[in-house]
Amino acid sequence: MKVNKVVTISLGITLSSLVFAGENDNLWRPVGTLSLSPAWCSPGETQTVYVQPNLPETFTANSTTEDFVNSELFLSLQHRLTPPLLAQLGLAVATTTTIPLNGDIWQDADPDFNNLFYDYKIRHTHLAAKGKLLADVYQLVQPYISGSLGVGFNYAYHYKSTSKRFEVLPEPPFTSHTTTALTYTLGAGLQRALNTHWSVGVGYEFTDWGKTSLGAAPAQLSNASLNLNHIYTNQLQLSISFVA
Amino acid sequence: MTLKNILKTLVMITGVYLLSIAYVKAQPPISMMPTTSTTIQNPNSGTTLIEYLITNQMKNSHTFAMVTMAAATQNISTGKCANPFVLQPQSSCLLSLEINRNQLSVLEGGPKVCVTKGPNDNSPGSYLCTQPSQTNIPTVTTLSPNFPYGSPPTGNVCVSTDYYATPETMLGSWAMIQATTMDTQGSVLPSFLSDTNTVYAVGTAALGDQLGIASCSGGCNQLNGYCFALKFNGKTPYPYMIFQSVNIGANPDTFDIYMAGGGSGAFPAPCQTFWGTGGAVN
Repeated sequence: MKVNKVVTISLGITLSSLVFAGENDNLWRPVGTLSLSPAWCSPGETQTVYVQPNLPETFTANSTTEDFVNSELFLSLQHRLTPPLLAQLGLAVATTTTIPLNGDIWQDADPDFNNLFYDYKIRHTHLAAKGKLLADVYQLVQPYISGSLGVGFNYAYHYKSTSKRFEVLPEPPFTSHTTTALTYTLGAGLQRALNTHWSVGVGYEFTDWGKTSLGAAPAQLSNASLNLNHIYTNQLQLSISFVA
Repeated sequence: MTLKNILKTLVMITGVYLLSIAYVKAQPPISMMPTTSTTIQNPNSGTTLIEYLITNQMKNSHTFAMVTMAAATQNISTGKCANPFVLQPQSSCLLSLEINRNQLSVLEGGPKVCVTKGPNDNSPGSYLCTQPSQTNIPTVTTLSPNFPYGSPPTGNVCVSTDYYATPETMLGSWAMIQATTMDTQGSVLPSFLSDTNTVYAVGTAALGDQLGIASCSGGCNQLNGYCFALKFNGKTPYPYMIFQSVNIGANPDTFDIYMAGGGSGAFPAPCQTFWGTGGAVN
């Protein structure tokens, strides 16, 4: 709810600015870019957590590359800085599909007691100030670089452990938790104008989601849980833009 | 075979080997091996003793406690696992449970042992919780009216060929006739038993092992007073016998039935006194 409010207010301010700018200054042209991107990352990280005092457990992560989809709406104002250089500044809101994480649990942090599986999911949303520089030097395409800095909301949820043996009972689940973190993106690509208003682009974007963590299980005496300090993702960004 | 194929095969074999090692090495953090029978015979009353040897397989010492178990009471007397109990690596203790036979309907699964919640809380936590293997959890077996149950009687039975010493011998007792008739009228007996197919008898039931009672294979005082429904396979009339164990000391896994005016059990010599030595006596 809180996130939605922030996004709504920010978009409202941006759109108002676009209208105001469009009416009063032809040098600032509003631009809307929608992108849909196949993305991938390898977020797993083996770590040892003290689930109780003197009781460590090692969570070994399956080092698989997970595929997901990232979508982004980037609303900005475009300004020609120099004859060959265009700049876009605005706000971007992005969200992803679910990424599964899983691995094994070594009880007592000992590989001899690799008795449980664990799995949970993460999803990322962010709101960021974003800038894009386009080189208007070629007739066919416009190369660009982009970057953003903002606040990310990393939601870790649906954690569960499953026993591999009848004798070993499942352990209490960590709770779902949203971590607010600093997030940034860096990108580069090519954009091609279809006409005076519409253009399409293809590029690569790197994202650091920042920290993600699950909440401690209710039965735990400590607050320790599974944490990922950074999740680095890569995406092939396919975009379509409209310049007013 | 090309070098590439050979390398591929070697990588696969190594992978399978490593996986198999990982699989074989996994084991419960504590082992729970039964030292008594884990089968409880129902219906009955009283208690059944079930014990497990608990061994800490981990490399660290931990404090454990048993999760409260319906129908079971932990016996924490000297020599048994206390509550909680501390186990050093590879050390063991005997988890002793008294199962209340009157509450068998709520008995579910086996005992569960967990690490305690912490230094200041000795109640069982939610981590490293272990239970016996599926084959070693307590099981309740129920005598079915669909006999046969058990095997034909064998042993030193003094039986005459003219059927003097058969279950019907019991019918010679006025009390017996009255008892079966009254119990039938009072619906004390299961519906398939009646005064026309059932006799009563007493003797010794040496079935402690089957009933989960330790050190009772040849019968014991704990079984005194217990009643059993027996069936003589293929016998008519009177195929059923309600049998009460009133003594100890029979051969393991047998019922020693005291027959009025009939056999003399494990001491066949008096048979001659009762029945002579003719060919009709064996």
